[in-house]
Amino acid sequence: MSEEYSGESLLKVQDLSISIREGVKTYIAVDRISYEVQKGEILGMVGESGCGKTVTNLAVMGLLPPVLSISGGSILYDGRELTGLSEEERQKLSGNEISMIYQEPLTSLNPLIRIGDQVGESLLIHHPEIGKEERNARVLQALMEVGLPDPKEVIRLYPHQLSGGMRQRVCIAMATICRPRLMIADEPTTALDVTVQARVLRLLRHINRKYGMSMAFISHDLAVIRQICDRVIVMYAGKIVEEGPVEDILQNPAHEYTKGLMRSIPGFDSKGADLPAIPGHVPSTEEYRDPCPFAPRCPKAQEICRKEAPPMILLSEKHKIYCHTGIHPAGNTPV
Amino acid sequence: MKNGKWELRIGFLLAGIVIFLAVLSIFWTPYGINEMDKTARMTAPSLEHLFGTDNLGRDVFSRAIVGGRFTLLVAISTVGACTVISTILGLIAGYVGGAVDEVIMRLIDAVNSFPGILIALVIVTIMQQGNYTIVIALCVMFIPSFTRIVRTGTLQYKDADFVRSNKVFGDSDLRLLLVHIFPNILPLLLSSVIVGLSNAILAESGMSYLGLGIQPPAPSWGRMLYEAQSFLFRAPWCALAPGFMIVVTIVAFNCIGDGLKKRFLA
Amino acid sequence: MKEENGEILEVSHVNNFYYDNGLGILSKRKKKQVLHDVSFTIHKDEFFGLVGESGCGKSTLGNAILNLIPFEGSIRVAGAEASATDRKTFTSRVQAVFQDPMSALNPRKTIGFTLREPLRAHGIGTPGEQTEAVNRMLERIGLNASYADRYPRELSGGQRQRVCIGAALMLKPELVIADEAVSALDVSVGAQILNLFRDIDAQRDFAMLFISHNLNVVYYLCDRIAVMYRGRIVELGTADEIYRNPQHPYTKLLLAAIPDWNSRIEDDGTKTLEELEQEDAKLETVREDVPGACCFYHRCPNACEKCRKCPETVNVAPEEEEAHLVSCFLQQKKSQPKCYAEDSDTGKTKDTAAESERS
Repeated sequence: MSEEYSGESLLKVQDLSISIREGVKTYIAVDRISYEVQKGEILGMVGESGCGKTVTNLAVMGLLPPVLSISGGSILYDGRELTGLSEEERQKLSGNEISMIYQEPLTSLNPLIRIGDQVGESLLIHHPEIGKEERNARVLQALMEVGLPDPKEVIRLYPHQLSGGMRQRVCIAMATICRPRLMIADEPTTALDVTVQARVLRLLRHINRKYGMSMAFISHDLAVIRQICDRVIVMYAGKIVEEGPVEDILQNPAHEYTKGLMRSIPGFDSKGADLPAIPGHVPSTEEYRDPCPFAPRCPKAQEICRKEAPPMILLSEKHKIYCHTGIHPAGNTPV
Repeated sequence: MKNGKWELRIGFLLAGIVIFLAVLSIFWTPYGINEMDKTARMTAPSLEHLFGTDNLGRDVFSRAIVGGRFTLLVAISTVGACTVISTILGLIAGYVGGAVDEVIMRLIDAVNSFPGILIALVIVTIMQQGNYTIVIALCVMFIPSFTRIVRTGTLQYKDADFVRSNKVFGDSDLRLLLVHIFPNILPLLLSSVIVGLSNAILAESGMSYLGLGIQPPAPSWGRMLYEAQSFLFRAPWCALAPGFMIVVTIVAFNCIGDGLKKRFLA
Repeated sequence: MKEENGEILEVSHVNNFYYDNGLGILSKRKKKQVLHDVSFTIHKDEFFGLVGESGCGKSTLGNAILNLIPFEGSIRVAGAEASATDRKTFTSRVQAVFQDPMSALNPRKTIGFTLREPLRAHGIGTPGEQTEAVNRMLERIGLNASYADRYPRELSGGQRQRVCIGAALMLKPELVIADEAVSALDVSVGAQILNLFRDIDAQRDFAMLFISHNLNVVYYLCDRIAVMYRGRIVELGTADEIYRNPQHPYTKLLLAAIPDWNSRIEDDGTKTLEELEQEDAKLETVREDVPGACCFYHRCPNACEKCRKCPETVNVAPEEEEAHLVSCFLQQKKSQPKCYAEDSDTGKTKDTAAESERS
């Protein structure tokens, strides 16, 4: 089911808030964020630890651990409300229409079950009507599609017999075998060597284009986001600070955090000088956060930033930032 | 119930009562433990005799609290000595490893494979009966499990990043063991020690019941149970009293042990 | 006591093995080699980068230099053989900062205690002097004196790593080994730590071996870089040389794989995955592994018959410049290297023949 990059929304998150319980106290993990994943696109979600990108996507999948819970807002998938779905209905969607791949391929696979059986499990659960023969054929095809050499050999192997890059490909095969419309990829290449990463990124892009599979791609690495994402949202301490097409954001970053993040990355031109690092640190869960959580570290912070939540400002049709401080001229390209 | 607050409260309360009574018995008991009142044999619990009297007219309550004192003393000495010896053995076995570890662990296994009663019997036979014989026998029985705990903890922390960091700072092996590794093992060891106390009390009671423990006329819970057997239905309080004390003490220490464990794992 | 030529670290022909017991009870114990004949030196007060992917042995090498694991060969620090130096002297010369600041600090001791440990272990200074030194170091790493009484759990990742750096510098070591020191930190925090490394060494009073898988970071921070692959150093040179003029096929592959700011992976859905990957294969091919061959033989796009034997190391830099060492038969000729490729023409492929003609 191929979907063109049409601008229509497949996943729409609206004013989502997630809270975390530590002992008797409750804190805010994600604070009223709104974004969407459009049909056929790869949306990048970038931010550092504690920004809420992983937690948000766990909420979409319905995989929040007991200490975390959705405290407000809605998640619409193809018009359907996902918050408050029963387990049964959730299971019909997971793996079938929405699937997820994780950072660590080693722990995502069961070490005791052969690759072939694991990849076929999704099919078995969601399409029990398919016979064993056809299922095996589809498993072989899925493994071939992700570029694994010798699928007939691979289905008989166990996870520990494969390298990290191959395991991640297996996970991708598992996640795509039912042809879901949306795939969430949580730092899928972070644990891989850089030479392997390049190939896995190419594979993801290929799947996106060939099958029209929309993706939410989470990463802390802006350069990786640049490689395959169409649009990107930048998150900080539970809030979205900037959103827009990848080209726009990376060439004209408008929010001070985005600018700071890009300057923090050493590149070819920065040798010999101090990196203009963002002073301070990301607030921990228990720390108090201003209505604009970046205010304590922002060079442009003003009184109002500590009193009111920042409004959304449209810089162009698709480029938004959440900030109080007025005009945002095109930022300098750091690299 | 999550962080063990209630277990600790109940445990400390009960243990406090038992210990208070035990300490009290050093200075005062309602009656002498061997004071026999021929007119009041096997009387049921009353205001004069809180736990009644036994077949010789002795006040069960007084005997019970004095018995508690002896039992607790044995248990504490045992666990105290055990902890020291096991810590040394466990730290060495875990840290040095290799042949030393193998030798220590096989010795431990050998000791462990004998039924406790048998070991106690052998030791008591060799060393003649006496109050401290039972401590030694119990020690030998408990050292294996404590050593295992310390050794496991040592193995766990030996390769920890911060131990490596301190090694690079120049800390000697001894300092690493005592200042960095051991304090981190302490929490788990502590809760095991507390549970060990309750096990020691049970073991001592068992030994005394068999006649291997504290010798009459010194009372002990196990001995009292043994003596109360023959007239169990005529004067049940004679057995119920020490039994009840054992139960309360064990429950107290187990609660504390559990509570500590929950606290440290939180 | 330092050598006159100012080498703070001399690693010569270091090998390291471990024994793999296999999975079954009947499987034989296999001897696996982690480090193969590793040799390099670090100059006094220079920042030296060691880069490579997972499994290449860079961390093992770091541990060997710190004398934490056994090894064959020679490692000399400040002229003295590491294995022959007593722990106290050795640790006053070589210190380390590790990857995970969360676990590198004893959770039950205060920051002040941890910073004092190195001094205590060496019996340096009275308690009063030690406190002074701790406070001065806290200032140097950008934390105020109140941090001395705090516990690691109260600090953020970046702050903990600062403490680790401070602790490593308490003894004024001559060599600091940083093993993936910024890899576990957020990008913006990592930048602060990199700045700290630069600033705290303003007078360059220590040398650093900076181990990382992240080429950009290594390039930014270091003067010279060594590239490791499968337990061997395949290329070594100044940071600029390695980046702008890589010679070894693996270095080229590594550089090409870094996500580039200026390009995207484009895909219009018309080609198959195979076709797309073919294009990537210009820098990488797959070949049978041959024992005794060049370590990169199984992936090298330029490999030839000659490469089935382990290549010697060649210096391709001109005489007067800092050495640029490459462990490869087929590289560009410069000045008068003892290049094995020129021995016979039969070994060359068309590509490399064209390459060498160009220079």
